[in-house]
This record gives sequence, C-alpha cells and structure tokens, in this order.
Amino acid sequence: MTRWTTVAQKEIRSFFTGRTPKIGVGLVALVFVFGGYITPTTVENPAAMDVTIADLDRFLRGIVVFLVPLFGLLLGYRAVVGEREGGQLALVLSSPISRADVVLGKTLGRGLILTTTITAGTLGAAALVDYPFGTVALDTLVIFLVTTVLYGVVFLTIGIGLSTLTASMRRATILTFGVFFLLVVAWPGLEGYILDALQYVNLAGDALPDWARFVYGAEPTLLYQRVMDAFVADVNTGAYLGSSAPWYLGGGTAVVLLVAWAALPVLGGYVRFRRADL
Amino acid sequence: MFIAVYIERSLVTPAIRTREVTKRFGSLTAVDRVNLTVEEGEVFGFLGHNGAGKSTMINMLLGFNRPTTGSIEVFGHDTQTNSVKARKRMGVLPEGYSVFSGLTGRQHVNFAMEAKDVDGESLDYLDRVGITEAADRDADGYSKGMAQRLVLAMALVGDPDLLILDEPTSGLDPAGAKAIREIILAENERGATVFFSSHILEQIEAVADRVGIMHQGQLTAVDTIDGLREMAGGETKLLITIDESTEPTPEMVQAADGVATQKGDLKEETTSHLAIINSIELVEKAWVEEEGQYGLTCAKDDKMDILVALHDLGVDVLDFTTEEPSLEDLFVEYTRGSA
Repeated sequence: MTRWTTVAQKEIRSFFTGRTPKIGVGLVALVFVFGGYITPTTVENPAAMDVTIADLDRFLRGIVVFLVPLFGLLLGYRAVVGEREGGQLALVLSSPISRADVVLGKTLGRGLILTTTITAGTLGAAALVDYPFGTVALDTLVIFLVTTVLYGVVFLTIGIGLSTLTASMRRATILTFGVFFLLVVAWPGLEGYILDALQYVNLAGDALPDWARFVYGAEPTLLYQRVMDAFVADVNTGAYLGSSAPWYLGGGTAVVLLVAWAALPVLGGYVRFRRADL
Repeated sequence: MFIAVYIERSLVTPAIRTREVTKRFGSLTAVDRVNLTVEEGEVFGFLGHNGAGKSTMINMLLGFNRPTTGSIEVFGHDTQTNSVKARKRMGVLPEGYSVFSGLTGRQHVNFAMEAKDVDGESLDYLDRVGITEAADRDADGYSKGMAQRLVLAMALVGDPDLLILDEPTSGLDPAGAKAIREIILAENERGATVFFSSHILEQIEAVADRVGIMHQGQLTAVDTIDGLREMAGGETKLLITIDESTEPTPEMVQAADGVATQKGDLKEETTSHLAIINSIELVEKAWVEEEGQYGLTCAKDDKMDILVALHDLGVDVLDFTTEEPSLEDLFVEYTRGSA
C-alpha cells in the first residue's frame, strides 16, 4: 500500500464520523434521483416522446450548476487547513509521509466520496428516466456522468487548493465563500460588463471578440454548460458552439480546460504548502 | 590527520546535527544560532521553560518548520530537503497534535504501521503503552493521558533509530510519567537515540545522559547532569547527627588536630568531633550545625567514603541527610541575568 492510499483511507474514515457529512452526501445524491423522478413529468407527452438523459440535463442543469460547486467546495475547503489547525496534520506528518502524499491522499479520498455520491445519484436518476417512459443511451449517460463528476472535482480541488493556502480556518472559509460567489453567482452575469469595458478601450465592437469570449468562457461553470450543450443537449448554435465559431470555443476545448481546472488549483496550492511552516 | 578526520566523519554520523540554526517569526527570534550534536545511542534531555524555543527547534527537526538560516541534519539527511527520509528513522510524539476523528486506537497504530511499511500486530504496541483495553474504542473519546500513550505507541512502530518526544509526560499522572520513563530507557537499551523535551527537571534528570538547556531561543548549556552540577559549583552538602556521648579518645583528637592544622583550618570554638570530621581528607569544609549535628561539604561521590571513614575513626553516626543542588538551582543559575 502506498502512503497516499493510507492517507486517503484515513481521510474517508474520518470524514464519515459525524452525522452531518452522511446526511449531506445523501441529500446531494437524492437531488439527482429526485431530478430523474420529476424529469418525465416535464416532458409534454412522455408516452409518445422518448424521455432521455438530455431531458434530465435540461431539468437538472440549473440545480447542478449551483449544487455541485457547493458540494465540491464544502467537501474540500477544510481538507488541509482543518487538520492543520486541529493538530491531526502534525500526527500525519510525524510518520514518513510527505506533504505531497497528504495533498494527493486527501484529494483522492474526498474525490472518491464526491464521485461515489454523484454516480449513485445519477444512476438512480437514469433508472427513473429509463423506466417507465424513456430510453437511456449508454454513451450520453456516461458523458453526463463523467462531465458532472469532473465539474464537481474542479470545485473540490479548488476547495482543497484554498485549504492549503492558509493556516487559519477562518481565512479559508472567507476565501471559499469569495470563490463561490465569484465563480458561481457573479461570473455568468459579467459578460455585459466585460463587453462594456472592452468597448470603452476600443477592443470590442458589438459583441465580444473571440479571444475575449475564450477567456470569459474558460470559467468552470460556463465550461460545464458548454460541454453538456455540445455533447448531451446537442446544441450547435450560438457564439461558442455555432458553425461559424472558431474551434477553440468548441466543446472539445472546453473538456480540456475543465480537466486543467481539476488539476491546477490543487497543484498551485501544493507548491505553496510544500515549503510552508505548519 | 586528514584521513583520520575523514574516517571519523564517515563512520560516525550523529543522530542530530544542527549548525547555526536560527528561526525568526517576524521580529521574534524563536531560535537563535543553535549548534547541537546528539550522538547515536544517547538519551538527550532538552530542557527549558515554555516558550524557550524547544518546540520550534523540534518542529524544525521534523521538517514542520524551516529554519530561517542554518541547517539541520538527522542521520545525515537534511530536514528541509529530505524530511521524509529523516522521518523514516524517527518515531515522533509531536506537540499540539490531535488524534484522528473516527479512528480507533488500533486503527491509529495501523496507520503508523502502513506509513512506515511495518508488518506485525498493532495490539503489541498498544500493550507496551498500556492501553490494550481501549484498542477498539474511538480515540476521540480518549483522555489526554491515553491519547499521549496512543501517540507514543505510534512513535514506537518499527523500532525507530531516533525517538523525538516533545513533552512526553504532559497530561500524564505520575504512574504514566513513570511508564514513559521506563519506555524511554528500554528503547535506549535497544539502541535507539532518544531526544526529548521537558520543562520538568526531574523527568530529565531521571533518564537523560546529557542535557541541553534552552533559554530565550539560545542553547545556554549542554552537558551531562553531573557536569552541569559541577559547572554550577554544585557540591554536596552532608548533614550528620552523631552520638556525642561517646567522646573520642585524646589520641584520636590529637592525630586529627595534626591533620586539621595541616589543612590550615582555624578552629575557634571547635569540639573534638569537629576536629575528627575535619581530619578526613575528603571533607572540604565542616561546621557545627546544632547540638549533636554537623554539616560538611564534599564531592558527590565521596559521601559514602566519608561515612565509612567516620565509622572507622570511632564516631557513631546516628543519622545523615544529603543535600545536592537540584537541577532547578542549576537552571535558575543558568538562566538568571537574561530573564
């Protein structure tokens, strides 16, 4: 057994000590299942129209882009700083375990919790979509599942990244709240302001230039929406996915960027944490 | 000459070697240019008040903190760049830890065994520290003393070459403190180097081969306990009560007088007994304490010889007490002035 699996194992055990985490995880899974239960009723004539994962996506999207980031951040933001402040980290690092083992083990342990939760919820939802009225195509289901898990992992690693940056739980909480507000609440509404700003400095005409659209659209929630639009909802219009848009605004690039988001925050946090005084 | 130096260096890697280690937190200098070498196989006591820099020093040994300047090596591994390698040979009881929530005592030891790649039975370790019966309870519910024993058990996993124990007896009752001392001695017997800190002098006095005194970030003194005593002018004081009803014979007094005169002691209101006591060569100074009781000073190891000599001279010693300067006295001595 490697050292980071030792950490991951301990992490999972410790996580489920209290009742709150169990309830939290259960609720998240239930929301997905509930979505699967409701979805057929949102389709006009479910007996004639095949209910699919695309319908589930359409119904759940607005909830997912709020719930999954919150879940990921809550799962991650205490991971390192909580044990650093509480003193468990001193005990972990008294063994020949490196700080990389700690960050990797925690990310994997909590990543596993997140993956299991979303997978259980999605599979439950898919079963309710499939029966009695619909059909679930395996490829769409896999894309829905993998993208949603990846989306959750992005916020999990952002949370863990933030938890490695500071030695104070309070500061980590404030940072996490700030990130949630910026990325989940504020960002989707910023397009107009960015356009105004660019027009003011004569960098934009009537619409955002492609490079600005790329930068603006490289935010996790917008990326998730684009991947789902491209590969689950089969959207092929609009500034990003339309036929005249450049390739780098497409769904494939969005997948790559989302993967980068899943890795970079925690790596950045680790680089700071590696040499920090505990 | 050069060869000799080379051989010495390659054969004897000290367990701990620090060079000019300084640690500043903002404007506070927590550790100030500390040079310390702990050889393999010794029990080293690290003594100082709370806030003297002991824990900062230990945290740097563990790689938790990085020295501002200077370097620290554990078995030749730099603790900044090679902390994991250094910790592979260590067993650690850190300061300010908490046990893992949701894990039993047994699972804690298993964690340490997995991290150190050690096979075996976790219960053996819990046995050694005396918390076997709590093995399958959540460690969250342990008392401070039990948690301390549990973490010591984790430190003992894999027979480490170096035990680093930060205030190991804090939170323990006297029986627990004694158990820890016995474990320290047993581990040392096995061949482990032990480095432990304490602000309680008796703890260190009981087990340490050498003592380092940390005061306001500086390593004020490093020596054996006896050496420290001697350096602080520590002489043993012996108080003896003698049966004065048996007068010494005039010959003995005469003989004793001769010696006493040679020693150059002027006897103003001397009694014959005082003269005899003074005649013993090992006695540095003697005086009348009260009726039937005499005081004398001597070197620590000479106490018994003096008592035997008195007996041989026909003096009937009814009772005796010794007063040695405590480490507390030494400590006050060493840390006075700068405080």
